Amino acid sequence: MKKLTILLIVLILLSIVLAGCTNSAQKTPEAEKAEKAPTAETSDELKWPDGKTIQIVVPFKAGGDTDFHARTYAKYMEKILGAPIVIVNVDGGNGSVGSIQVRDAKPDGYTALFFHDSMLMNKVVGVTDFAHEAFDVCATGIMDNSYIIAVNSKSKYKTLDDLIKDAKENPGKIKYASSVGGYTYYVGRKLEELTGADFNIVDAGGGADRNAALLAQKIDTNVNPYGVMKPYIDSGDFRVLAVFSEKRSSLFPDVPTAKELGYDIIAHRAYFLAFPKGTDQRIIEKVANAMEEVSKKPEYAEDIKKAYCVEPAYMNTADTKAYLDSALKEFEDAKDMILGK
Amino acid sequence: MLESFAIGAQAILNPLCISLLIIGIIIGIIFGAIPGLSATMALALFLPITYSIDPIAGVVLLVSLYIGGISGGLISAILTRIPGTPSSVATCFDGYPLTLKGEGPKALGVGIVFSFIGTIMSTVVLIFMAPWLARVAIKFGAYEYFSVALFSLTMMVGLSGKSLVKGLISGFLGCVFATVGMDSIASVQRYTFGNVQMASGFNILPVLIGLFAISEILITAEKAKHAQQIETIKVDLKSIRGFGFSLKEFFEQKWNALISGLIGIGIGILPGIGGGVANVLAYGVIKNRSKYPEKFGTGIIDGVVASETSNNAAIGGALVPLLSLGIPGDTVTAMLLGGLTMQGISPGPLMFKEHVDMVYAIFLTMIIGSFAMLFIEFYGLRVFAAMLKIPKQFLLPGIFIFCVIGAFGVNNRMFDVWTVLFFGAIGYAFNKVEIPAPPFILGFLIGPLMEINLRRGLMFSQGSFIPFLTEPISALFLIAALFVIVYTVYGEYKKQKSAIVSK
Repeated sequence: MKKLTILLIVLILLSIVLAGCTNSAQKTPEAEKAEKAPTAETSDELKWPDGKTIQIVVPFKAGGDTDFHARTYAKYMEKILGAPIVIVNVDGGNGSVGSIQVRDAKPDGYTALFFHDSMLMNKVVGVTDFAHEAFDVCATGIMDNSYIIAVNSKSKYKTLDDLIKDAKENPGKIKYASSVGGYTYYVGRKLEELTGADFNIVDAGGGADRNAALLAQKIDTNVNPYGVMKPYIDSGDFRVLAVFSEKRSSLFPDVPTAKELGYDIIAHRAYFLAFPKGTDQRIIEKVANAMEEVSKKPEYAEDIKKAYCVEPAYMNTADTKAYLDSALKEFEDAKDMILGK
Repeated sequence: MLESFAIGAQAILNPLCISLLIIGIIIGIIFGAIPGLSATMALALFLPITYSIDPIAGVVLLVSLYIGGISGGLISAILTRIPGTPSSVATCFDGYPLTLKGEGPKALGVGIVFSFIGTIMSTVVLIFMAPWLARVAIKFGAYEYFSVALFSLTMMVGLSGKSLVKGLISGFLGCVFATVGMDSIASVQRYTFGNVQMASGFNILPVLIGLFAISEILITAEKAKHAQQIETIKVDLKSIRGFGFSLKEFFEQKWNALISGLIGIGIGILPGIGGGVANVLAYGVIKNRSKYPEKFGTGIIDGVVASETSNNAAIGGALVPLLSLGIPGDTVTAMLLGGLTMQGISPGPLMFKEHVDMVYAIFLTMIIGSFAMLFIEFYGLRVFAAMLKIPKQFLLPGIFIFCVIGAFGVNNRMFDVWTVLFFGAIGYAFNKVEIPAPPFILGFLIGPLMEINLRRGLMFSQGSFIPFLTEPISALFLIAALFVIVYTVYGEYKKQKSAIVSK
């Protein structure tokens, strides 16, 4: 019995010591993090990237639009920065899982996040509790302002006016495809608010699924970037009614803007690069400059035109921040609308 | 058409494409055969490489990885009862009992040959009927999908083994676990307990390898502890002739193969379902229509034929909506789509007109790839079977490591590794109380599909259930589902009655 008590005491002591060890072990990386950031700033010469691999996290699966834009950028930036760039796909939670991974990464310039406006939408709908303010935003590489509204060519709607008029006369009958809480949902609600039309906003899956649904006329109208619907526009299956941009696109100049038609709605999505908070400002500047250089390359413009029918659009660090701030405010003001209330 | 084939042949009959094709098939088989690594992962790994090579060469590599990866899953399924990929779950049911009987090489031979037949069948359908089938496929909207999903769920019956009730418990648990994460319509978080990692739910691959591989390793380890020595399965490598089975046995399977192939093609064409469901569904159907359903699960080649024909047939099926509509049917074709887009080719209605070379290069890759697969696996047969000679205390820890690496590789995060271990524990518990795991997988795959299409359908109809019953295709599948349920309940009733009488 005595032996057992001694053993017990020893065990308890041991576990306390062990617990103490793990605590201190947990502290060290954090302490390191806190120490590293300032030292990097105080050293005079920037040694980054020093030929070391840079990881860019894409918070979606391989093969999507975000993945494409990140990889195309990486292809050209590798040469400019003189360091290999690896794209890591961390899918989940509409991009929030990958975002958190980068937010919590070491701010040494070797991990970055490539994301778009959905980061803001995630905060507004409550998927996450942070947006771009939790990062050191670098720059915007692409601004996709090719959002169009289209119908099946067999449908009776020849113009945006036809569609809006019908949606007013038959409230709740015209099926507008979108996912609740998504960007195109917001566009649809804005369109309703502006015109007094009443759509039946239904979920019909992602871009490709919605194409199929529109082709089979299971839905009446669909809003998506031009590139997503391009094959069907080219084949004559879909009719484009308008583009939600400030001015007509040079890649499809025949399509009128919604604004010209009297519906003042602008839709866009910025694909930006962000580093964990506390990253050396010089690194951010260097990468931002590299991104600007890429955006001016004609080969690059050709790549993105072929794949997604968009044009390069670069925004520097300050402009990107300002853009994200205003976009976040816009979404927050429209929170109830986005949540479908 | 001949002219188009000539264009395709011109595009791929060069040393680069042919060597990429053979490399793709071999690597695919290896990825498929190792539990934890899958066809999806092979494509994910090689996708970035294809960005920097010629578009056709890149697609040849991806398609051959796909074919090899789906077929390779049969090897571990038959030899160790651990499915290498979700597509070979049903291959275990009869493949492993055959191995236990010492007929492992025969099971492998059957699996290989019918994988080949499945691929060829679906390629023929793809070549001749793709645009037409795609027009049929888009007729499937939310109502139709819901009914197909419901019908597929009734196949749990065929997978339940001895006890129907336990099968249903397993299947519905699968449906429940699939609800974890953000719901796919309104992004509401369910059962995530505030954990952001849980928000994306459980990925099918960690769930599958947990349930099948980890639990199998635990069970073997437990047995070894009690028996002191693990039994090694006897296998006679010298007596293997050809593919290990007779021509007579081959012809006996012709109807099974045809039906399974058609199921595979059909399921493959419907986007979102894919090979993971096709093999299980085909197994269920073949078992139901068999003259000797009681023999299924004891080690007959019919089960291997059903599973392996259908999962490879799903490849050609999945390429139908991909090429003619630009809709990816599963995770693998989603990556193929990414590969094509990256090269500036957008599959869709004009694909068959504007990119004839690419389309026919894919067709030819499938045909040549099938033959390459047949030859490589034929000569590999003896090597695979020799794996049985590796003592399990060395083989299984190796598999365990691959499972963990594979789980991490799914999404580059530790959460999936914990998922594997968690589902390993569940699989082990299932085994202890004799709950079959296959219905769980079916529920896990089909449950979300059923839910999302029910909700979408109700959004379309603004809350009315009537269209589910009045849309003809939907009604057809609902009646079929009802028929299976009534037939099963009646069968159970008869069984119980006769059991009481005989007492």
